[in-house]
Order: sequence, then structure tokens, then C-alpha cells
Amino acid sequence: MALELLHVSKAFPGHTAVQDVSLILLPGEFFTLVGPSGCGKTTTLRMIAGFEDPTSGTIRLNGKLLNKLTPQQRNVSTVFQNYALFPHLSVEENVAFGLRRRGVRDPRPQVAEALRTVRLTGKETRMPAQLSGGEKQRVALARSLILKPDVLLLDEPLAALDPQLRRQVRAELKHLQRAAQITFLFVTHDQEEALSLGDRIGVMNGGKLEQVGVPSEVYSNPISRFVAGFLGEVNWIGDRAVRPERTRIETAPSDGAVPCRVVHSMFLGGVIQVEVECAHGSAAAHLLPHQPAFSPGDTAYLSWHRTDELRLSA
Amino acid sequence: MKLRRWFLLPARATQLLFFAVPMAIVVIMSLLTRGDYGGAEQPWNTESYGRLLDPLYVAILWRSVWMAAAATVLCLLLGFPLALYISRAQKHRGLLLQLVILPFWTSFLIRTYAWLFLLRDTGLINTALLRIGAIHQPLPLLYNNGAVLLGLVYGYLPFMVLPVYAALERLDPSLSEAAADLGASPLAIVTRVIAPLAAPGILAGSILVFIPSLGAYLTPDLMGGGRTVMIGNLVQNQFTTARDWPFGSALSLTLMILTALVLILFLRRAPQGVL
Repeated sequence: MALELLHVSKAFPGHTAVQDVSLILLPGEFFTLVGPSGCGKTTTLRMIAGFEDPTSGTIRLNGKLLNKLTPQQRNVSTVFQNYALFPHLSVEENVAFGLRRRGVRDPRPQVAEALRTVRLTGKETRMPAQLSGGEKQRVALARSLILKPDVLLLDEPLAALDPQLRRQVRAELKHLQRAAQITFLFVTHDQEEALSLGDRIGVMNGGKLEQVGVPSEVYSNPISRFVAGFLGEVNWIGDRAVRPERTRIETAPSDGAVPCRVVHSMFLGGVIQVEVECAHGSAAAHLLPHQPAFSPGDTAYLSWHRTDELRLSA
Repeated sequence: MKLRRWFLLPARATQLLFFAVPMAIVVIMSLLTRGDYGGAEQPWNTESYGRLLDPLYVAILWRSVWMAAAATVLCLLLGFPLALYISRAQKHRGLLLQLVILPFWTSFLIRTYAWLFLLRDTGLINTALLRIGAIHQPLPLLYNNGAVLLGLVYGYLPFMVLPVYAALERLDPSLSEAAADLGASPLAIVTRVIAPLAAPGILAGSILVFIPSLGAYLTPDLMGGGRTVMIGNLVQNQFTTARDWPFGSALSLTLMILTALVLILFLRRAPQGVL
């Protein structure tokens, strides 16, 4: 194992940010920690980086206890949400910063290599203020990766980018992580980002780690209402829960189908989402564009396979 | 356009009354001959400027410059850590800043006299040390360069702390964290990241300490006891005991030009956005 958190808690005066979190990261895996703002994911990251001391519990890296080590002594590195590039240093000197602190006399060859990896060759002499958001993010990545950390901690590194770019950077990040074979711990509040990037994901809520697993597994078998609702849309029909994309909508009643009234249809590109109102409240179903359309006010019937129901244990 | 001119009138009048006219008087006086009982009279001459080159006056000028420079460096060495501490304080930041400003609530003259009561031969420190037997002769704590330097640093330290604090307070704390994360020692974090980024504040503070120190007259007068004469005391002397107003005016102008030169030199090297 690369990183191990055992019963880690963090209490601030007045509130507990992280409660009894236990988590093991495997070497070379891309782990995404997802949850709403204030759920404790960033505090967890900061405890691993050494910016916060855990109130209780242990953090180990390759078996070595990290709790009492300063950030300087831990072979982990952080990509900050705002990138925290040194504004008075050029791109080259930002990336060389860590190597210089380690006493490397001539970091330039390594810096050139790191900048090539993040496709920033030619921007060596630029100052951070002259870079685009995406470029800043890549400088921050290069600055951390050049130190070959055992674990790279990423604190919402895509949040500051515009949505178009975010999608592209996501693919690059995944590729980079594969190539570098470094364990990534990626914190985000965006469930789509978490599901698409992570080899495994952990869902946090109210300071607790609610569920850990492979994205498809956690998405289809969430253990709690919170996890189910946070990772995607859920139709709550009585005591049954089913994802909209697993919900069929038809004009004719069938055995066990739930009658409903169509509120409106939304064209989402690949699918059409039909929002409906039934006796249990609002629900949604997905239609493929070639299927017959529904108009607001139409009566329709919802049905689903029993095997597609989410079995929530908590 | 006309309205604008009316609104600017008070500013123009102030400039004229409090800057241009006094300046002109000083320039004119420096080019006249001294009167027997003070004042200045005809004929015109530049003799006062010639006397500036007298080694005695050059020495005083030089001493003033290095005393002011030393006071600036000491204020920076004391003020930077203090400003850093206040900017990082979790609580009572406002109170700590108030404490820095607190001395301004009392007259500078009274505060300087307080130092005399502490430092003179029969002052608090010497009396206490004699009483406990640590010394047998009073220590010469007053009336030397060290005492003047102490007075200058004490008097102008807040002018260093406040602008440096303002610069540090604006710094993104994640920059220090990033530096630590990349392996920078606490010292390296200060020298490589914090200090360079606080440079505008450091520069502003240095100017605010250096300029009044260069022209200081009360502190060297009281704490130097006449032995440590700085250019400010020399100017004062010319207008009082020496009754040589033209020479005093020439000295004042020289001090002003010197200050302007230092300021230009500082600002040439300054990053943008200072002052």
C-alpha cells in the first residue's frame, strides 16, 4: 500500500471536520475523493500534506508514520486549487523550486524534461501572470511531479478552469498519471469528474467517508441515500430508488407500471430526459432520440427492472 | 472644464502657500548674505554653497546618511519579523497593530524624554544595575551614536512595520504552504518567497524610515547631547545660535536634494506599484 489512513479525525474549535476516516491508497492508483463543500475532503488532504495535524488517528506512507513529520519531510506533494504558483518566479524557476531546495546545482535538464511532459516547452521565461488557467495548472503539476512524490495530492485542480477546458485537462491528467505511475489523490466536489477520473472513488459527507469503491460499482450500488443522490439522479418512488437512465417511460400501462404526468422534456444531446410527476413526487426517465416523444401534460407510465433498483443499506 | 478648475483651486492654493512660497524663500535666502543679528541681506552671493564642502560639514552629512541607513536596516531587521508575526496571528491582530501605533498617542518629545530617564547616568537602568552590584560605574548609555540610533529606531519602527504588514497581509497563505510542500525550510520560505513578494512594502517602509531619520533633529539633539550632530541639528544651529540663515537655507536645500536623490534611486529599482 502507498498511503494508509487509520481512524483519522480532525476537530476544529466548534466543529469536527473529519470523523474517523480510514482509507488505503494502492501504489499507482488514481483515487478521487468526492463530496459537497464542507464535507472534510480538503481537510483530509491537508492532513496528508502536513498542513493540519490530525486530532487522532494515524497516517502512514509506505509504512512510515507521517503524523509528526513537517510538510518538508513528507514525500507527498500538493497541487493547490489556485495553483499557488510563486508570482515573482518564472515558469522555469517555479518548477525548479523544489529541486533547488534539495540542493540540485543545475536543475535545468530536469526542468526541461518536466516542462516537456506537461507540454510547456518554450514558456520557460514566462511569469505566472502571463499564463492561461490551463497553463498555470500544468506548471503546478510539473512543479510537484518533478520531485517524484509517492503521492500527489490534487485539491480541486480543475475548478478554476472553464468547462470546455476541464474536460480536455481531465483526459490529460489521467494520461499523465498513468505515465508517471504516481499515486494520485484527487479531491473534487464534481461527481462527474470523480466518476470519470478515479480508478476508485471515496464519497465523503459530513466529515465521514461513506463509501469507497470502483466508480461503476459505487454508482450502481450506493450504500446510502446520500451517496446515491450525490453521484447521480435518483427517482424515489415509494421506498424504491432507481436511476432515470434505468427507468422506462411508455404511453401504455403495463404490469406494475407507475402512472404519471409529463411535465416537460429536455433534449440533452445523446438522450432526452423526460421529467414527470407521479403520486410519489417528481421523477425522470431517459428516452433515446428515435423513440416517440412526449409532450407536457401527456399521461405516461414508468417501469423498471427489479434488478435495477438501488439497494441502500444505510 | 471651468468647474474643474474651480474645484482644483484649493489644491493649487495649498501648493502655492505651503510648498512653492516657502521653497522660494529658502532658495532666495540661501543666495543672500547673513545679517549681523540673523536674517539675510544683500548682496547676492553663493558663498553659503561653497562652505558646504568644508570637511567638517561633509563629515556631518556623511554621518547623517549612515546613521539614517543604519536606522533603516535595524528597523527592517526588527520590523519584518514583527510584521510577519502580526500577519500570522490567529487572534487579536487588530490589537497587536494598535500596540504598534500606540506610541503615537503621546508626543514624540515626551517619549524621547522618557528614554533620557531610562538611560542617563542616574536613570532607571544605571541605578538598578549599580544597586544590584552588576556595575560600579554608570554605563555610558546616552550621548553617543548608539543612543541616537536607538532613538531613531524607536521613533520610526512603526513606519516600517505598517507598510510591511500591509504587504504581508495581502500574501496568499497557500504560497508559504506550497513552498513548505516543495521542501523549503522555514528560513528559505521567508527569504525565497515571503520577502521577495513583500518587497514593495519593505521598500515603502525603508523610505518612510530613511527620510525622516536623515533629517532628524530632535532625537540627535536630546539623545546625542550635542556630541552626535546630524545635519538636522546643524540646520537648527544656523537659524539659532550661529545666526547664519543663508547657510542654514543652503544646508536645508542640500538635505532636500539629497533626500530626493535617494528616493529616485530607490524607486528606479522598485517593482511597479510601490507608493
